[in-house]
Amino acid sequence: MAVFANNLKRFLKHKFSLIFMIAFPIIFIAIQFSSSSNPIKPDAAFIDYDQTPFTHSLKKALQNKVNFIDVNKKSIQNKLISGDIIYAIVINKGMTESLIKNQDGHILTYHTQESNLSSGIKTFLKSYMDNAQVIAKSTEGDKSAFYQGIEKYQQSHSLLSLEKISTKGLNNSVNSIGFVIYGLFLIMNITSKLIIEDKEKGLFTRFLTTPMTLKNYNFQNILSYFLLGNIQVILLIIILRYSFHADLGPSLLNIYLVLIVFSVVSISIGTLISSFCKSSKQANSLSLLISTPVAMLGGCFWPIEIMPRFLQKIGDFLPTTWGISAVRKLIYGNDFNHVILDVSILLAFAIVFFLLSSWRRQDIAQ
Amino acid sequence: MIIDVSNLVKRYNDFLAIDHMSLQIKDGEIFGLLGPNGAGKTTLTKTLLGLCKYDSGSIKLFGSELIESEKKIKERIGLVPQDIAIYDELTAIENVQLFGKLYGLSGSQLKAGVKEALEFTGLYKLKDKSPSQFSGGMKRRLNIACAIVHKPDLLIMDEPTVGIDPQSRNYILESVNKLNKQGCTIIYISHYMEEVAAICSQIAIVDKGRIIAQGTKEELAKLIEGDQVLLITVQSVDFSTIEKLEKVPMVKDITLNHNQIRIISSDSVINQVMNLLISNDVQINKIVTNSPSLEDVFLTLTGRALREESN
Ligand SMILES: Nc1ncnc2c1ncn2[C@@H]1O[C@H](COP(=O)(O)OP(=O)(O)OP(=O)(O)O)[C@@H](O)[C@H]1O
Ligand SMILES: [Mg+2]
Repeated sequence: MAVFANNLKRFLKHKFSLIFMIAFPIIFIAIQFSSSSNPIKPDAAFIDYDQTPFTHSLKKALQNKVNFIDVNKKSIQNKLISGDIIYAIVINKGMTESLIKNQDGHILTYHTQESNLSSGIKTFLKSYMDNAQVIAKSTEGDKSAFYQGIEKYQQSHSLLSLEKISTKGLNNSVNSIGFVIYGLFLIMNITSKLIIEDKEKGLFTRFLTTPMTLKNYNFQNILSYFLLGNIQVILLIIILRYSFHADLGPSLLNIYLVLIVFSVVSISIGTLISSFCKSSKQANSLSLLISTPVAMLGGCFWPIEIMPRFLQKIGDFLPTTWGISAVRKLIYGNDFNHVILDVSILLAFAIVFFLLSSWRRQDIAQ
Repeated sequence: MIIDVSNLVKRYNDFLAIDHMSLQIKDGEIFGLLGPNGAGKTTLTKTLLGLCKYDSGSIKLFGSELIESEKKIKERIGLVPQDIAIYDELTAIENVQLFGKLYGLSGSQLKAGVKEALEFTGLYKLKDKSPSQFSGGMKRRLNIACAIVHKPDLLIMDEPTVGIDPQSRNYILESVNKLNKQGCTIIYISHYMEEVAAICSQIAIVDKGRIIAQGTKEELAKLIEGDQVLLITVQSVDFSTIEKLEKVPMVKDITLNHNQIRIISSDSVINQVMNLLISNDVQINKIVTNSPSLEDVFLTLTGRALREESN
């Protein structure tokens, strides 16, 4: 494991790159947490077959916390499973009518994982409907009296339970993820530089005159980068969770898994860069040149939704987009099953990049 | 036989870098490979060590082909690459340790090997310094230390003394002799005739991918026994005059270096040359006659100088 141990020593000599990998995301996260940003609203569905003033006002109240997107009833389950929406509310035709007349109205709700937000919405809906029933009872079927009661109730204390749901931690952590992902992206800088340096200085060729095989050399190299990636990921998670008290969803392990897969993608891009570049200077600039725009288009610095449609489409082909999407879903409380697609796409990226770089290297060796 | 190369052919695309070369190197030898830039010396070492493929022929190291037992064979070989290949980020001792480990050393064996290699190259006192603070000669010596840490049976040194001062060079040459006495077979690649003449027991002259002469220093000198070397310093001379000189009978080789004409001939040609120069109005400043050196052997065999004189 001489090359592995040697690489660890060399990492320490690249202090600038290391500081960049850790300090850069942390600085941005700190700025993020210290400024009060616009609240982030996860997507949800509100399917209203009733369309009464009562259901409209309910929707309006909820819009403070979630963003309702168009979903048809059949795709609710898929959207929930894929993590595209965190909550779905379905109101059947005649619900308001039956509430006013028979004091019996209920709405259907769907969600998958228990999160701060979804359980908050649940509590809110329950007390809202309970109160509506009480009002319906006392107004005894009188429609206008019912609506007056609802309005009064809303003005007094109805929205309190909704206000209490804190999404600040959630906002901040969702917004921070982009910077974490960007930080993980920067590992490609150090990996590509070290690989090229070995070639530039003739050490790579010299190693191959020793009993060590090429496979072994590659393995030890990748292993050392993997260890570095692990240290970075764990450090960033700890800092996010315990110094910034970010809400990272129900499972830190899941977050770790997704981030480490993303780190492997970055390493694979680093090896690809090294197979295309002739000098470590070139690799250094190329890695910075690649990482920043890819991070931008992938939504690391601002939500991908605010970008024009065609740029969002480009984002579909970038690993950063999938990394952020996976981590976001986990933060919203989804379990690992919901991010398997994103993680598979990330792994596919890594495999393709590793194959490309080894194919390219063989090409050079010929 | 430690190395047995027969009919080796290596092409870079269309360029023939090694042209049907055959070469045998016996145990315990210091084998000198002498040749001008681009002769194919480095290419030969690369093919020997399996760093690049060859087109045809066969290579046997320690009696077997490299692919038969690559690991075992490589453990017994050390390479001092032509271009210094060490880490500036590591200290001298860390560099040597790294290669010791790569050659499979560990524990007390590694420790002893590293110490010995550093002492051998006179770097032990500087072991904790980074090579970035080293002079060119010190780097060269560290480059050697990394190749001998595992006490190889065969050491290939590809121009280990390029660009260093005479003192360091002598140090390295002495070390090579010492290593050889300890039982290490050495391939010494150089384009310095004096070095090769001083330490090598066998010398092969390589040009354009072929071995054009091989033997001991004395055997090579015999190739041009009886030849004479004429050095004439002139004010100025044009090429048509040189062409005329080449046609003088018995002239084997002519080189013009600045204002010095060097003529190697199989018998005395002073009279003819003088007459020709005078009749062409060449102003002669100085004339020296010499018996030929190894350098002249090379000149006659290849028609080229070993290296540009400015080197
Ligand atoms: N990778 C390569 N691709 C194409 N041609 C090459 C390559 N490496 C070497 N050559 C050519 O092969 C020839 C032999 O090169 P080589 O390096 O073996 O020479 P050398 O004898 O070591 O010379 P020097 O004394 O300058 O080190 C040269 O003409 C060189 O241009
Ligand atoms: Mg060479």
